[in-house]
Amino acid sequence: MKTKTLRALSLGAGLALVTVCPVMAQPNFTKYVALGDSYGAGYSAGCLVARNQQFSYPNILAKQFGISDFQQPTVSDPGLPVCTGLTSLVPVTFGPISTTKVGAPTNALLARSYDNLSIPGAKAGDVSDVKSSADPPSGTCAACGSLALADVVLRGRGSMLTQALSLNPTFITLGIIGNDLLTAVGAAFLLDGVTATPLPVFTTKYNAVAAALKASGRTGVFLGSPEGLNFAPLTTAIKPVVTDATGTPVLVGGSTIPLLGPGNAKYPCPAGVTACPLPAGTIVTLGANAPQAALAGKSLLGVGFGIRCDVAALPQCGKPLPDGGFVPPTTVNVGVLLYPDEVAAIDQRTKDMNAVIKAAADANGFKYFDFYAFAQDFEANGRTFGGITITKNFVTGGAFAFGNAIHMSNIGYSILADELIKFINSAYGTDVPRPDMSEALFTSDVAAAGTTGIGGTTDTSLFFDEEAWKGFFREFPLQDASLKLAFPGDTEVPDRAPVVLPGRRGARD
Amino acid sequence: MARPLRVRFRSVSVPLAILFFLAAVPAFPSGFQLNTQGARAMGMGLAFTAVANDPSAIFFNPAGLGWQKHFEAEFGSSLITKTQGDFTGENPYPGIGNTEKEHKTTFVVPTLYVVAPLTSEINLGLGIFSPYGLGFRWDNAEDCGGDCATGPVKSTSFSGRFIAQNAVIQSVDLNPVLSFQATPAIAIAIGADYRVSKVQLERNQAAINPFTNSAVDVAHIKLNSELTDNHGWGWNAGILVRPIPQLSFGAAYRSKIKVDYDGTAKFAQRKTGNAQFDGIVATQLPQGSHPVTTSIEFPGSLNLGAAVTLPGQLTVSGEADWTEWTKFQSLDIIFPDLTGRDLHRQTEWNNSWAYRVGLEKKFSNFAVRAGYYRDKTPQPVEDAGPILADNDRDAYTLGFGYDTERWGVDVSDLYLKFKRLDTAGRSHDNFFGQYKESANIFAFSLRVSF
Repeated sequence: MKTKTLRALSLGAGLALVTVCPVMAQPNFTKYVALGDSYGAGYSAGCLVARNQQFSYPNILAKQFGISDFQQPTVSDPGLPVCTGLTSLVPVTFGPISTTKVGAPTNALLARSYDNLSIPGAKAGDVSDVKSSADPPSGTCAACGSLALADVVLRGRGSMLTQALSLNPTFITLGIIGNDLLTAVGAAFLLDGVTATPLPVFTTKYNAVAAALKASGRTGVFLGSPEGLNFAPLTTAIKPVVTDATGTPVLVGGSTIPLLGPGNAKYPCPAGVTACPLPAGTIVTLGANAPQAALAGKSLLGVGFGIRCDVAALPQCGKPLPDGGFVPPTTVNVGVLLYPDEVAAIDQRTKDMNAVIKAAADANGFKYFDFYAFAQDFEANGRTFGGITITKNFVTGGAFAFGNAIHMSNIGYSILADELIKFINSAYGTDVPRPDMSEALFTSDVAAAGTTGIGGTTDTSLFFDEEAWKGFFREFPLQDASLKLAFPGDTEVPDRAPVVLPGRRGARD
Repeated sequence: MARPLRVRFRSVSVPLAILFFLAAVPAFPSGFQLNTQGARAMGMGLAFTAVANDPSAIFFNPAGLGWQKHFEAEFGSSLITKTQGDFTGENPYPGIGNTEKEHKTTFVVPTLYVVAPLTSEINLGLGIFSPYGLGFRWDNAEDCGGDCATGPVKSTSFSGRFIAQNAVIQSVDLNPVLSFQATPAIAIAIGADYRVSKVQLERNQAAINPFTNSAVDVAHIKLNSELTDNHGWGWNAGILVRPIPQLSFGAAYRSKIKVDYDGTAKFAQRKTGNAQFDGIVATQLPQGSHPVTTSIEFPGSLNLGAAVTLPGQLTVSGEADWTEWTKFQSLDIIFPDLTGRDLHRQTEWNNSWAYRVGLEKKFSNFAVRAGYYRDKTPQPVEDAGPILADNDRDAYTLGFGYDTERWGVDVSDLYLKFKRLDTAGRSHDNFFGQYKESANIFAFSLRVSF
């Protein structure tokens, strides 16, 4: 009896120790598969192309894991779709690097699924639901969109999730980091079912993917969403005040001059006033600076919207910049203003989505990478390597791609990969070597001679042209294909009345 | 009303002798402290605070002058050769496979000491030496394939060139001292320490070429201060106790000295080959010379030593040296007429200790010496980089001397072996790699007595 008691106590103590001191799952990097979106794909200057794909964070991670056979859906120059390049600094002008050629897949004959299955534009639901660029049929899935590059990645072999599981990975990354919300930033208003995936839908879809990825002996990292509103040029390149040609704020009496907006429910203009100063904390998106055909090739700011007439006597001075809104039944008025309450709502949604991602990671044996915190730190401090400083600054900072409002450059993706490796080492107690940043820092990101066909007419556009603006919504589509976009230049700008229906709009509304 | 110090001392022209000393000062650093200020002391592993029996006592322990009863002068020099300075890069920057070499240069560090008895108990001494110096230059610092004003800098150039290509601190001290032999067994001394100094820093500036989204060299920046504008005052003191002739205890203190530097910064553009980008850089790059200021607080130090002479004229000495490097917490370089260009570098050095032992065996007029010391670096690993990569070091010394009543000569050699320094994951500059360094110092001194 005494012996039995001692055995029982010993067993109990042992179990208690196991309970109190769980053994950290050691990752096995022999088979790594990446599921993700454009960031995972290495999508950079508006395109998928091998010279950027080699710097995708999954590819860098695989290299640092010691994997020699990490396969990606590589594309030749000038990219799919055709990549953007900087054509002039004075004025800052971007354009396609080719008007006569288009890139083609160079690894399409691979007899198995790619190890990097990231599809630009993918939302949470797309990981399991999308099997081709035409799938699902328009308007049938609130969480899904038309992913133009899905066929390049999936090749009819099934969904991202199905193919990932078929590879039986020992380590995975799941990087669905913001497409479920980015459309709200681009359209300048958050409305569930219109510009954002409703949180319950996102939660259901994400949890299902996470649960499907769970397997004994499999470890990995789920990436959260970055602190997007102060991270990417889309929302940081334009100041909400009047600036001169160099982007320097104009001062009158020592003070900056706020741009004008129409106000909203939280920040209304005074009665009878149609344009009033933007409150502090308002974000003006790059769309305000996009030349539009309807404006004779000039931008909203260029013709005076949002600018007081006593500051600049432009044709449309004194009128407000447009705010985004939804006009039932199907019209989405794209705006360029995010008032502070909208900024707060989008930020809160980002945090809510990240909470879902973290819970899913915790529940299924994966680690959660806090991209939100990394983005905040990068915004504040940039990164310096041997005296070379990289910042988020548009065009000159180095972290973001040519003229791209959202996507990173080779340097930016390498920094992200470095952060991920540091995180993996910290989270798992591993010693994965950090990547060689000099490869991205000193590799010229231009197409090889003869691959672009440059020599024809190149499009010239300032910062973010109308085509790029509209292209944004092709990459980050509305929640329902029946919805129709209305750009400021398409209508009587900005006299349209933005109407935003309260609450969530379901996919079938 | 007293005139400002600066004006007073500007009115005193710097002796040509000091210029000679300065011109030859760049040195292999200990931190950037240089203690090889006498061949006899160096032969004994610099464990000389309780020995201090030649004119170099002015540097090591001025109380040692108390037992020196003749007019004496000693001239000497150290020749410092960096025998190895290799850097091997690590990820994330500059990357595995990157290798660099420190530039091999022989530095000459002269010393001059003069001792003049004023009374039977009081001696006056004057020393000129260079207790601090730094010379850290890298091979292939900038390769433009010819003219850097027209040709782009090659990517094969020194990978740390955006931090420093060349870092120099030069200093010369004029150190008058008075010693007083209070009793046959005790001498004390005090002195004033006037230091002139100059600094130089060269590096390239990087920018992202937006046409290629890659890093390129866009400018070369050279900061340089003039000798005559930059000086500081301190003091030193010592005590030497010889309770019996065969036994001595010594202590020497040298105060901190702060030197404020005024200099000039010159910016020279480096062309990238893209006319538009070069044009933008040209509009943003300061043209011509601009004033620049900085300051360095050279640390105080306290040396404590003991020596015993055993039968057979064998002297054994030992000491512990403490240096107050916590005074060197940051390096701030200020551009008064340029906005956004000030540099602030956290150095956060620690106080350091060095432990030294030495032997001297006399054979009539001849003496042979040997020594060893271990010097702990004050520099945190995080601060180590192309400006200065210091680490703990072991030093082994041998020396030889010949003495007569009227003259003497000493020679010695010191081999410095640095502990390998690895900055992996710990560099403020994010410049990671391993430094493997060693140096050799040869010293001689010639003493005459009247």
